[in-house]
Amino acid sequence: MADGSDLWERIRIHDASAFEAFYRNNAGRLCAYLQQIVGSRQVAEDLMQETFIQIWKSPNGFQPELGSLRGYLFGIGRKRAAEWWRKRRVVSEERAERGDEPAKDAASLSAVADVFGRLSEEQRSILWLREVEGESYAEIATILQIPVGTVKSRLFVAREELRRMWRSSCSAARS
Amino acid sequence: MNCAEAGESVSALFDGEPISRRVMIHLLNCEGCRTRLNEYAAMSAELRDMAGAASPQAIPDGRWKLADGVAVNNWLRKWKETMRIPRFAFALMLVALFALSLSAGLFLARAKDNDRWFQYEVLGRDGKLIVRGAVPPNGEGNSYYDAGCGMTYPEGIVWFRVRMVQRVGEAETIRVRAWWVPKGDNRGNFERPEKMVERQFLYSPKEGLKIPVEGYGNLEIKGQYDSTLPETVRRGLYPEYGKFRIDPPVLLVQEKELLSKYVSGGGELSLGKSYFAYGQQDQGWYVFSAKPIQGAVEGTLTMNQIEFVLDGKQYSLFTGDPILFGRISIWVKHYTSIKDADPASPGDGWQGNEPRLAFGELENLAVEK
Repeated sequence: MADGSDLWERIRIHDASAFEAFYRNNAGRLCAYLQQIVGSRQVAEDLMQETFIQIWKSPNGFQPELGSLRGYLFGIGRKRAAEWWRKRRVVSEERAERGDEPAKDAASLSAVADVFGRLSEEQRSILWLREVEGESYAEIATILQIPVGTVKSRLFVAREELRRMWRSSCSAARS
Repeated sequence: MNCAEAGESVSALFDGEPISRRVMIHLLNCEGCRTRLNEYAAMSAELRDMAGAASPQAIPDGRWKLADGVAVNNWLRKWKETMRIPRFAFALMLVALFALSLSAGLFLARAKDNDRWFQYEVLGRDGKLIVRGAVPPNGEGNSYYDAGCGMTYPEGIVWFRVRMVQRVGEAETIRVRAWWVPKGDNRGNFERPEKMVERQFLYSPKEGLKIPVEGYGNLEIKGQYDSTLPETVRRGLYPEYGKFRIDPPVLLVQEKELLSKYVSGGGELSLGKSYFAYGQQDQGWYVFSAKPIQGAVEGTLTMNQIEFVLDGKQYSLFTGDPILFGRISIWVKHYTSIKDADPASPGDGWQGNEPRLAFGELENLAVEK
């Protein structure tokens, strides 16, 4: 399916079939990306739904000259995830004051997922966009709203951090 | 340059970005950074694996359908009604924008054309070769020297330092410091080059650039742009000129989902005469060739990545090291069953669904069963 201006023009005039196709093609991947940021499948799905609703209700925010429609979608999703984190920190601090245990995702984590999960939210996000989504530097820059040069340096830092933790995790497993 | 300085560029190289000559030289000599590159590939494979497992099995219905819709706007009509400039002025503006976009396109085409190696030779006053080199487009300001050496003659030594600074259109900006040390002179006067004025030349490729050196005569630089690195320079990081190299890990990705990962041995073959094939019991063979083959689709090979589309699906193949330098077209033929073709007889005992690599000569490829 095209991810370009034709599709966008149809979405702008609220063509439901066009938006449904856009949703079907991108919802799963957006959900997987958000899950890596927030760590919870349920929360990721909620954020994914909110992201699509936002675009459906206010379709004029997309500027084709600044990147692809898919990049725009991921950019909004990422902002929503960041907002969720900010709110969650407040809740976590309140829970900590009450002595509650932090919530854990029930899914069992593989070794790689475990190491990946220990990266910062920013590092998980940029690595996911590059390695899994295969986004270009320019597209990542648009989604994360940072300069392309910063994408390059942050990717390097994230890879090195993952590599360092992965190596120590492998060493620990061997010993 | 050390590993810490090169690291960011190694990461960029893994993403298919160009790297500077300094980084390339470092990589050629640094086992640690080559390991780093390989580990990036391995981590990438694991992440894609993990992503495959994490993807939702079913996409829930979109809640956007329940959201209040905004009334459908006839935006074109509204826009026309609210237009505040005369129509002819608007038409002129469109013409100007069109002209601008054309010139931008021209610029982009040239910039892409820039992605070539400048290969050069420095010759002595007698026309004999002193040094040969090749530099990629310089994007980092080039504060280093591409060549610095001396040539001994019976009456003294000519010393020079040359750097290829920047490509300007079809010309190369070259800066030179060169000096003559007569026999018996103090050869240990190393302060001299630092005090010399660096001379700048704009060189048109394939012509001879004469660089007068007082007391010596002329040094001469000859060079040209080429899309590939010469065989004499190609070492280590890139395979030799005219060859492609497949180094593990090799990852096959379909629509951003990892299909398989191959981690055993690799190979290096002639670019024009050979092919390589990546196969798996449940996927069949994917045969790759730099020359067109019947029934194949055309893809692109960029450094360590091959991208192609089959049956409307986007595929990528990643390797641990660059397959070659730069970007070329590559043809991919898919045999959906391994029984449909026998690229290079991977041998007996191919059990399970472990992927295999096979190499062979194109002239022997007509082996469809």
